[in-house]
Amino acid sequence: MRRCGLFIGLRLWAALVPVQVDPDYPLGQLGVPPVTTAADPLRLVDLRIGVSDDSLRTSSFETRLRLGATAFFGGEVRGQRLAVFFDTQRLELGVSEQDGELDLEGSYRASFFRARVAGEKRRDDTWNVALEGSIRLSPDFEILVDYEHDTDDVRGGPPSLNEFIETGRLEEPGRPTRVLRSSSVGFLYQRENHLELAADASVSRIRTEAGFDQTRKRARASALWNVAAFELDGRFGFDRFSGRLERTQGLAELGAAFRFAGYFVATARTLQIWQPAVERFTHDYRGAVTFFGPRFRFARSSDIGDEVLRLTRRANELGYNERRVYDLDGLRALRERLSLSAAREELAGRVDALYLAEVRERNVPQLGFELARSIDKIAGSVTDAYRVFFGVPWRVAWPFTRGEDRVEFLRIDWAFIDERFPSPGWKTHSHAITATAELNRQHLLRFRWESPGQTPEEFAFNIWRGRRWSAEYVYELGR
Amino acid sequence: MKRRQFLRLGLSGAAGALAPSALREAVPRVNGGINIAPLRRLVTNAELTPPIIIPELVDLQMKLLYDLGFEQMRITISFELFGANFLAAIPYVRAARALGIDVLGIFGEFAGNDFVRAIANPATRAEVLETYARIFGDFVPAASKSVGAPGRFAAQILNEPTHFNGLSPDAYVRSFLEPAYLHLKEDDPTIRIVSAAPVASAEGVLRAQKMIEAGLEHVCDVVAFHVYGTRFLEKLAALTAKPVWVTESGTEGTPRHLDWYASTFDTIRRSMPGVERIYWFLLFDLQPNRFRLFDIVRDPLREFIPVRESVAAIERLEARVREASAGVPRASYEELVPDITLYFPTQEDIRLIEETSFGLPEGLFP
Repeated sequence: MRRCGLFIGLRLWAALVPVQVDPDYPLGQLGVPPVTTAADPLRLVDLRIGVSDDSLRTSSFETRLRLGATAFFGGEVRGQRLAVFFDTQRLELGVSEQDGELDLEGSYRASFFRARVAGEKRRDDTWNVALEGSIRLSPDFEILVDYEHDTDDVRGGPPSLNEFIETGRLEEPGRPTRVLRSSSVGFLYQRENHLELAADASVSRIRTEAGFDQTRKRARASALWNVAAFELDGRFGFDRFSGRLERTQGLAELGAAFRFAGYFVATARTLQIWQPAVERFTHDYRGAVTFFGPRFRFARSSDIGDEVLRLTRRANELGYNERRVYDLDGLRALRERLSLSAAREELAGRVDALYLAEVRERNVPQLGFELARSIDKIAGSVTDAYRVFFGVPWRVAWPFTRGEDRVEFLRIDWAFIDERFPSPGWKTHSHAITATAELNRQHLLRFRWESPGQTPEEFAFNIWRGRRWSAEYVYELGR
Repeated sequence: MKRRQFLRLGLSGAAGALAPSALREAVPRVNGGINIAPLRRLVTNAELTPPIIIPELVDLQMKLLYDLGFEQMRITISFELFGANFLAAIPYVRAARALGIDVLGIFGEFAGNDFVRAIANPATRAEVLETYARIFGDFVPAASKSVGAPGRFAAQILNEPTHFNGLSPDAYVRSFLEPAYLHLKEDDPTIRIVSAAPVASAEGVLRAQKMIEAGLEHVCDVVAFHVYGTRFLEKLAALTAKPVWVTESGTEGTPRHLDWYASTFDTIRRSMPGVERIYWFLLFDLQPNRFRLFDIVRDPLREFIPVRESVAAIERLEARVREASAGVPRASYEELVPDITLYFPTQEDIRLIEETSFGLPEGLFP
């Protein structure tokens, strides 16, 4: 009884600790970043520099600038990939090139629909084109339509023995199994912040690597339900293949996250894929427990969710057609887009209020572990993954203590992956260590070292990716 | 003179000299296929203790194969960097073919990954496959005119690549079967290339789907499966229109062998109309009361003697041979193969191996 009283007392004390709206970071207090104000004429909003021991192929440089009050533009160099983009609230355009392959992307957001087209031009001048559309019937409900078309209808076939005899060379591998054409229709329903339902049905023509075609009819549905201390999500799907390899395939994924004692979150997730009357061939199970320094809040059942709801409803009344999102990157993109709109001055207060809610209700993970097991019956492998991390908050404190004014500062993640192929008796281990330092919400340094294992297939091909390291600096204004 | 011509002259001359003058028909080949282990010594881990290959052991297995009227033999030709087990497969393959028995040789390995690495590596792929083809695929004359045509040689590229080598089904097709198909067909367009065999289990069905999707049927002449259960036969049958060889089939437990032979083989043929051949697993191994038909024991006086373990199944095989023989006396194995060492590795075989970048393994020929 005494211990119970002490526990309740601690909970009450924790609840009464004042939450610092503008917390202290290693680089000092941050204030409200100028997301809603126009640049004069340019403002740097993103800078990302990455280097690695394999510098030429994987180093990257990405920058994004705000142009006045109306647009963002920028570019990216990632290894051999070059990209530029230009975004307004309604229009998004992007183009990238790598090794002679071109990616084009454009989208337009009207008051009641959004259309996106993406095209990939290959070196052989064939195109893969994807069209996506959403029609908003209410602030909570959208109809989704997709169409995909691949102009490369080359059909795989037997290799030419004569050519092999003449040249002594093996032909390049044919195109992998791919979607030639696909059409789908579905919906997304978002009820307040606590419920999300989505479903779609599609028909696809698939050309196999062997050269024969299959028709895939697919139906998928997903749901997410959140209450104050609990979140449940699920995804279910059903594929029917007709043609040479006629079969039916099912997919089910179920996840749950539960907050307990205010500062701990337990999560569990499973994914199963199977062919009825044959076997479940993919099993994935994972569970984790994380301790947070400040009290943990689900974004959907906190002030963040309330601000998102207010902001998107008002934006949709104004004709800006915004979907509700809850992850950090999605929230930042939402705030940025609306700050480009003609109604940015009206929305500025709500945009800043959303940012302040994100800061106030930040989750600061300090200790955690995850166990995961994946079984792939086709590959004949069993993979166990162990991940642990500890974080030192700012101001510096032990990871296992708590405090409502804490922000993320230093964090070390360690992952150990044990992959086994029981039949040939093969084992391989991978390690990865990631060290992250957040100087404030906008400046982040990350160093990663990994020692990958070697699968039997990689051993056969004498492939070992070797120990690698990479380092990254990230600046994100208004994150 | 090419090696093929050399063998034709050498072996046919020797066989002709040793064959009996009075020509009796060979034992009729009526009992389908069987797997045999290329034993070279009667121990689990035969090291390089001389003799590397005990001729009497080869002789005994070949005699059983011949007397029981098997039509086809399947045998692992274990690479092991052209080691002792590779050489041990030579007399089995040549003697069987001389007796008119078709041979399916598995290009692979009992244990380890030397073979898959050699095939995955463009620098060694061609020489390894060509050495296999020349040593095992070249012409072998019939032991006697009474045998008729000598047995043909077919190549199976790996046994169960996911199970034994950890290779994904699509990587197997792309990087192992296709190159092997092209190299072997270049050398001999008539050779039949048999795919590795998914087991007729749930996993096997899934792996076979992946293999077919990756183009398996374009790079083999025959699709193979291993059948140790009948639940998924219809699903496997629906996967391919190619000829199918069931390269392993059997059941664990000696008392169940006869029923498997008598009824399950029929079930397989009914359920999979494309099945051309079924190979029983197996003639002999060192594990009692499981799959083998015979035990082999060493008698101090008679050297190696066969012990009938799966008596009912053996009697059925013998009955079918007797029935097909129709009371006509048949040539004995000893008449056809008076000296098994005739089929042993030759200097030419050794030279072919020496010419590869691997050379002869150390300690094999001290």
